Amino acid sequence: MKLMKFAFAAALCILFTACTSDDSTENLDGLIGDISLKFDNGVGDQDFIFETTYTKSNNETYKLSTLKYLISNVRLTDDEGNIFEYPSDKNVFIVDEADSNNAGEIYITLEDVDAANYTSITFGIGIDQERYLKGADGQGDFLSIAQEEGMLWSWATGYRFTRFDGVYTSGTEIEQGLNIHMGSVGTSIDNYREVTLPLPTEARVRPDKITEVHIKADISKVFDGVTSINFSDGYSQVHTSAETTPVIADNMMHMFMVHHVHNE
Amino acid sequence: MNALQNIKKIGLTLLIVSIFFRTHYGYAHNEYPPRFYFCDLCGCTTSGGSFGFGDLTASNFIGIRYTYQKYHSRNGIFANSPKSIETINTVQLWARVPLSKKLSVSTIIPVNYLQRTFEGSDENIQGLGDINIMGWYSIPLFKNTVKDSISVRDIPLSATHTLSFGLGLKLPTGSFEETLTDRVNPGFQVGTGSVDYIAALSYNFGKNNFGFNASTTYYLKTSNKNDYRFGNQFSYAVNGFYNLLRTNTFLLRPFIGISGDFFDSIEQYNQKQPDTNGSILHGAIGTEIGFDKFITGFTYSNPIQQDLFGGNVDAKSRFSAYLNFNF
Repeated sequence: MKLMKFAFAAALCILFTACTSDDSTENLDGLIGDISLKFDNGVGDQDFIFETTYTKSNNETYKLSTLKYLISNVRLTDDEGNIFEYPSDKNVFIVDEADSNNAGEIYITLEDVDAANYTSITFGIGIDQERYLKGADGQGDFLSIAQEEGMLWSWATGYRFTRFDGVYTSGTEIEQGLNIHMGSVGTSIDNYREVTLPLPTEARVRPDKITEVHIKADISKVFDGVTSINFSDGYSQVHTSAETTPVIADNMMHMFMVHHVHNE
Repeated sequence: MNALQNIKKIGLTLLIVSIFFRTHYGYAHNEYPPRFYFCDLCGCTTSGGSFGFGDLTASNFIGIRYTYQKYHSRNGIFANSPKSIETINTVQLWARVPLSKKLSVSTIIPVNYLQRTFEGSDENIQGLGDINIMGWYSIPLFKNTVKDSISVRDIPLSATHTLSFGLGLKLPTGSFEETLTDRVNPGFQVGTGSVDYIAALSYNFGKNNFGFNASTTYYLKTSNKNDYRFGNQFSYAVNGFYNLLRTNTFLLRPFIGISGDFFDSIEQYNQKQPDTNGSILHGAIGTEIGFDKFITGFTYSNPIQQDLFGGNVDAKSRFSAYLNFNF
């Protein structure tokens, strides 16, 4: 009997030692990998769907047929405080709900990112003055892309940071046009904003591994954010106004959160 | 020393069986490459735990058990995200073999068939699941007045109490695929890919035609080769039964009970994954029917309370049936 107990204990020990994972520190110097940012637009706890009626705080309702915004200057901060910035000429993207997959997710894939354990992500909403001041020739391919996507007024006025197009209904107005085209107006208004989002778990970028950061974007915050706006009160047509555009820009700073991270 | 030889034999047999299954089952016959991520909290843990390691009276037996489980999982991060339906069918070879009066070993060798239906298309995975082996040490707290009761009919007339301690392992004989998809239900796997340690405590009581059993099981889980570690799990089950009909060759033993599980968060690369812990409580009703030395059991369970994966996974009713030969 004693021998049997001993054998059982020994078997346990062997299994324990045999299965210990190797936690030796890995050397990531010079290694690169890809990371995907997965933007998922919603309204509160509901997934965003085109032509669906959503209710705002003051009982105004809206439904959208276009939903696009610009993201740029993506940076990642790792667990040692190092910051990786994606190359500037490629670091500008259009998040377009119309490009989403069946699940309503829009992918932006960053390639050749330094291998590291990233703990937060920073990006800009819109285009900063530095990029704008590079002039039309300094924009590379993005200028024509933005033009095709309707994200540019004219070179002098600059980029539209957002394109929320649809209709709204209030107590007195029924299905009136709604167009939120916020942007910086040349250099006279700067509506570029940056947000830094903590990652709930580390995003581990490694060669040949898939890493995804699932970003939830709450569209309701654009209208009911830091400031609640009324469509019927001058906010149904937001274009170049120095009064309304900064309110939308500030509201958009609070619409993003990282819901979760996938590591392969 | 007979006991030691028995253990060796059983171990060797299991090894051979597992090698066979790994080679010949796995995903070889699958239409699709396996793309199942995360793990299924639920699917991996069909062997033991709240499902039980044996029949109501903890007899020695060899038999076959079938279990059916169904889950609805939200695929996405929103309240109106579409849901998938996962069904898990498991066929298990299970046994509890005495080594001496107080010592016994039990095993469960499952083969899992999983199906996932999402937006009109089906995906299937199947294969050998995770084998579990337990060693049990039983203490009869009251002397059994009927010696060498060997058949299901011979329930002693006086009260009996038995306390059993079990220690064991859940082996990574089922494949674990850590391919990145956006699955909410990480338990949708034939195995966890990890060696898990199991400690169990069970208590059996019988008096006249009444009986009662209670068991608790703790699973200490380790990381698999993908640095993925399912959360430690605490399971419990309590059943009360009554011998409604008992003749020399026939037994009808209905029972009612509750069972449940608590799961810790899943960890990957030593980081807790959000919304991966949870708990579930089942109510169960069923019966055992004995014919001579054969006993069959049927159990229907329904969740009473649950909170799995932050509410993203919804467990439906489950069913199990077994046919055992007692010895």
